[in-house]
Amino acid sequence: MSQVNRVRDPDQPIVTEANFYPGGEGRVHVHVVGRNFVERGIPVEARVGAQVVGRLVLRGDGRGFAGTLERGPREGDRLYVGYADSELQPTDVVVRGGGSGAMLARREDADAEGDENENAEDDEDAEGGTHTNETQ
Amino acid sequence: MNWGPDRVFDQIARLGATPAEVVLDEVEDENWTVVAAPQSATPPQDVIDGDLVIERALGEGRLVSLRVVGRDVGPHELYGSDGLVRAEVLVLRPARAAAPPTRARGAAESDLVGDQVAVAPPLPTHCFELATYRSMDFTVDSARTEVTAATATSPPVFSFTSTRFRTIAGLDSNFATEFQATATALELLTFTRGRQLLDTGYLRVDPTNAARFQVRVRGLVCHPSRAGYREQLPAGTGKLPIAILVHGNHASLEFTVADSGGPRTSLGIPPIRFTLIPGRSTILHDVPSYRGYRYLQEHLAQMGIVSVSIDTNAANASGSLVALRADLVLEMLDHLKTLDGTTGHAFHNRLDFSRVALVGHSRGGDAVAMAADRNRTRTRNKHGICAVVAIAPTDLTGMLATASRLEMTRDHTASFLCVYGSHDGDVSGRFVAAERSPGWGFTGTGFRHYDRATAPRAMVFIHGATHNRFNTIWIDPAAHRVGTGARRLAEAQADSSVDEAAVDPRKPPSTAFPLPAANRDARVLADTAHRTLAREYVGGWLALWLLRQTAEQPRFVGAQANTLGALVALQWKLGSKRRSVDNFDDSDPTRNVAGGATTRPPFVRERLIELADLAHTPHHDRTLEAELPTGASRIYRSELPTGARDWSRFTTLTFRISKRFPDVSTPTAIAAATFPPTLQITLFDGTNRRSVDQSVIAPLNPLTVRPYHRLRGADNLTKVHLQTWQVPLSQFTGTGGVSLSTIRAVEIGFDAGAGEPIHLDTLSVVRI
Repeated sequence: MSQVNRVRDPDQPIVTEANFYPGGEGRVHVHVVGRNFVERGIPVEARVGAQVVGRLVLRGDGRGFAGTLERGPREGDRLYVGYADSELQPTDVVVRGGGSGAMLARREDADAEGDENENAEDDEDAEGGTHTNETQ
Repeated sequence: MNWGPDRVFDQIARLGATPAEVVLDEVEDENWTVVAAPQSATPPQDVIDGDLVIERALGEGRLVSLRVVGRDVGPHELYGSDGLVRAEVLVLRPARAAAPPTRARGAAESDLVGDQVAVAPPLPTHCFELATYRSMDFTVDSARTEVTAATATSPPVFSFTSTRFRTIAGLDSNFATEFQATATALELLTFTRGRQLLDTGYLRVDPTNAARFQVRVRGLVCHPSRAGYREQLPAGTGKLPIAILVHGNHASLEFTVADSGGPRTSLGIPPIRFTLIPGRSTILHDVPSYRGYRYLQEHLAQMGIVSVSIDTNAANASGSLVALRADLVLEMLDHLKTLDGTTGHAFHNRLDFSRVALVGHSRGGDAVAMAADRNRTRTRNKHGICAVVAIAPTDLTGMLATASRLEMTRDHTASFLCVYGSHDGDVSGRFVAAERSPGWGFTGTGFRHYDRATAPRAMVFIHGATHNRFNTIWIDPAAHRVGTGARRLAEAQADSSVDEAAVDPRKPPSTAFPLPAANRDARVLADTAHRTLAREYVGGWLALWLLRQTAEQPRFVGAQANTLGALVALQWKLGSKRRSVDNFDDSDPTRNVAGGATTRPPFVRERLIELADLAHTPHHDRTLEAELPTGASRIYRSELPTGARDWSRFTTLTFRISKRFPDVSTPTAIAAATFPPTLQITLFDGTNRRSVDQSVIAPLNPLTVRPYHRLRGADNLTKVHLQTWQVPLSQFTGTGGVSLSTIRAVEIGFDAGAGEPIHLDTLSVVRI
């Protein structure tokens, strides 16, 4: 199992979970849970694999968003989120499951006690850059 | 001097290089307004009885005829088979006489008659909430994709999709289904954002068609009032100009969801099945962003302007970029038109829809440009847009296909103003690496709006101004729910988390670099300063264009500082007459836009300005670029064709100028660079030449500023940008000087340093 650790841009949204549901006419609705999604002039953007999440609507409390994919994601597609003026950052959420029912995408380390970097926004030394380390 | 109709025609629509070519100039005679230019697509219904038609016999010397619409000729006779105004036809209308200031009667009341507005004292004001429902499309534009990637020398091209719907079924199908857990395991409340807007009154079912919805159009109205009768407009019969204000994207609506009692369904996520319960939403919290410009609205009302700041939270809550906001602007204007036509209403016959200003902040800045564009193509209920003002705007169409970009031309608006802050932490000019430049980023900044505009225009780049502090609600913690990120940002008056530490007004200021952690950046302006500058610049622009108070113009042309002494960088092209010499925007470097030939030394070329410094240039525009002079030929020469040589009715030569800064990593490096750019300008009248050099030009432009050093986290967002310089034409006349009646050429000598090219653009003459 891979694990993604990062020193996070304080503006970077955090994702903890994503769920996919059939939306009719081949579309798939995506429902993302997390935090630090701030409504700004610059729009939030997301993609699942190579596919852009359209009609993205943030939750009013900043804890996620809902959107639509024009077609179903593929097994193994990763969720990326960010703002339109920055690189979309990979999240720990990867699509699993599939078929005619609902699919569920969870963080790869969902069974872990918690990612210490989740508290990065509470740390005084949060830096303005972002880098990603993958460990096996 | 002969100022017959042939001269009038030639001043506005000159003969081009060939007898069959007519070149539309920017010159506007102070006594006339151009109704229909040669070869324009002006609709026939815009030509009315009494308009003056000048027909120029092309290629036949000075033959010309004058006719009056309605008496001598009908509008449809002026058009060719292609539907355009014939090339030899120009239609003019007498301009309104400028209203002289009148002495106000009484201590605080002025009688508004016709177009005259009292300059002082301020009028009493009154504000109230206005709301109605209107049948309109609900447009969601989103899902940006890259069509063409950026290269080292060319920008990217993007697209995004727009979906319009007006039915309840459309609301259900076009928004993603969302879920909320209940107290009961395996039961989920379901809802869509569209249904939430319907449940909570932002939308309602159309009373005439249950399959459709209507959209709530709501706003805060502020108007001048009559002393002692605050809900009435000032006494008199004069019509008042109108301003519509539009806020941008911000925290908006939070909902709670409960069981609506509707039929249940189920959804299986193997090996578990959930019961889905249709939810009904109520509003938990609503941030009233539209009330955040009341300070500006009251200032406008004191001047005699009716304003409405509209609520676009329906767009914020639905993830819509621009289009829905633009539609709400037009719907509010149309609603005001209804009120104006309603007997007994306070506004009955008192609103002047030929004098409308649109003022937008952030995405609202994009929206007012789009609203002006949609208004332009209306065949009914078309409003007279005198000003489009964009405050800290996004530029979400600037990197779309060319035909989709919003450009403020004279067909859109009589004027365009952009106000933007160097310390904007939201629309900051940050860009994705693949986009290569702030000038090429999808989100853009106000610099690109200004670059594309061709209407009379100005841009005020305020050193130390932020994004959110122009809106009092956005920086009010009490307007945001406890525990939300938006409230935390409001407490710090910050545009984003990265900027919090540097701008928090609770910290003591510091001018040290690097900034100590316990201090804020002293250069960042307080919220009170933002409001003061908004009143001066936005209020001043509306006074200039809605009320014809020409005393406001000096602050936009570098002749008057703001009352705070805040540093600003100005770009502008204003004046009762304006004529372009060259914009360097076309693909032919051998000719200028006036139709004359140009001669370049080898170190001078035309190209995109941003290519000289992709990382720090916020522009996307072709300019003249001069590198280190080499060789024997050192002069750039731009010749003027016959018909464009008479500059006697102009007062000032203007141009935009900048230079590349080799090092913008620190304030010290910026301060150490050679600045301002050095050049020499010569006018030639066929006999005499007269030059002015830096020793004359620099003192004439005292408000020129160096780039503002700006770090946002790890990103250096310092912007190296153009500023407008002016040189009075009187500098070139006098004994041994040139005759302004026969200017044959403009010659420019550049003194660029190695690796520090000079950029010049928008070479023009104006009358100010």
